[in-house]
Amino acid sequence: MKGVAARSGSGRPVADRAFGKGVARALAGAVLFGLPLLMTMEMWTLGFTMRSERLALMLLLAAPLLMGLAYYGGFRRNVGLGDSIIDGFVAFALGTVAAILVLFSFGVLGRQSSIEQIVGVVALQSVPAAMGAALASSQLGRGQEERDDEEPEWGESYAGELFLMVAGALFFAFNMAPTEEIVRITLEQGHVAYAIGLMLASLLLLHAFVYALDFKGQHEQAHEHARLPPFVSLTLPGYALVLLTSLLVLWLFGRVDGLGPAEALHMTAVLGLPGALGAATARLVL
Amino acid sequence: MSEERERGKTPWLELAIGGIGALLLTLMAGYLLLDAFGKGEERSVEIVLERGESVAQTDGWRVPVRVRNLGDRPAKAVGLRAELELADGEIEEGALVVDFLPPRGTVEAVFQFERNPDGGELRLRAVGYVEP
Repeated sequence: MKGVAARSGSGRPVADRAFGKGVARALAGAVLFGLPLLMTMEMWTLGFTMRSERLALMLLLAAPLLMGLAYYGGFRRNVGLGDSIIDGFVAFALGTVAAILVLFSFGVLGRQSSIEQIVGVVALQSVPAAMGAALASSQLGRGQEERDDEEPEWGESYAGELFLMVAGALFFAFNMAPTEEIVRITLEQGHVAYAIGLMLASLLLLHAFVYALDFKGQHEQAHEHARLPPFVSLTLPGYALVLLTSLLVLWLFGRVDGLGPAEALHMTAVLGLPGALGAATARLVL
Repeated sequence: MSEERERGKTPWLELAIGGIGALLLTLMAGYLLLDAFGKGEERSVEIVLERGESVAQTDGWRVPVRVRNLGDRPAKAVGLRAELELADGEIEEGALVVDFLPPRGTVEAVFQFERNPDGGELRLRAVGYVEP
């Protein structure tokens, strides 16, 4: 047996203690990863200006994402889907608690806040904080040796690779999409040539980070699960998912409302650049 | 992997927190869906201004104003105007902008005047807002 609890091997109290340590790590991760957004004014206002049905959809989409992250990182080593589902909800609970604590202690929410405002802002902020909670185990806790021992096989699978890319892209997109700068960059660039250039640069960066630059955790040149070259089998579909993720986040935040298709796609390409970096570095982070 | 998990048992703390997480997610998503689809009538912004007691200061008077949105839609850049008509017929005006006003939310604002607002008639009104 490999995990923290397993080394002690003395049943429920030890398992509870190991899980308790995981919870403490997760809370720290929720604050660490969530703080940049918890201290961003655009996120406070988005919490009550976002359309309720989109906010609800975001919460419902967050659940399977957190379960996937919990499967990969986990508070303790998971043995199956059931544990991952529970850990996904644990991450959400801890992310929500962290968001509530920080938002109330900063005075963003208070006695005068309406229930609509509290639910909106907390719902919005709980998702990145919960991602932080889910990532905390892989980032803040275990040593490299232990992590290598615990690496689940599916993270090496093709679907697992793409899932990690989406998770990384989503985390970066979440940090950038609420800001006015994304709109400003799109407007300043204007011409479609900039969007094409950004897409090419994003593709190159994604490929370089995953294959070419010898970063920690990056792939072997020959991908086990694909007969096609890595650029075709992983980079291109990965970037397509990055663009879809970016567009989804922009739409959820209402950033593309009222824009024509060309402007919306240009903005997606702009957000796709940090999204691609997030996707590329997901393996390093996770 | 713990022996607990090998035997298919999950720590009670994990189950408890996971249950709370599932409940929180369901409640928040349910509330938001109800808010989105449960209201048949047109959603609105309804701004109400409530004046507080005037307070004398070294450089004039300040009048606290509670800005409330009784509607279920948010408002951005809410413009407020105050008009103080004094007994001698002189009029003193003030204006300010509230950045964001959440649905059913409240914001505290303050108007400043050179002369005592209690010595005349103070009219407060919201002059407009931007749909976020």
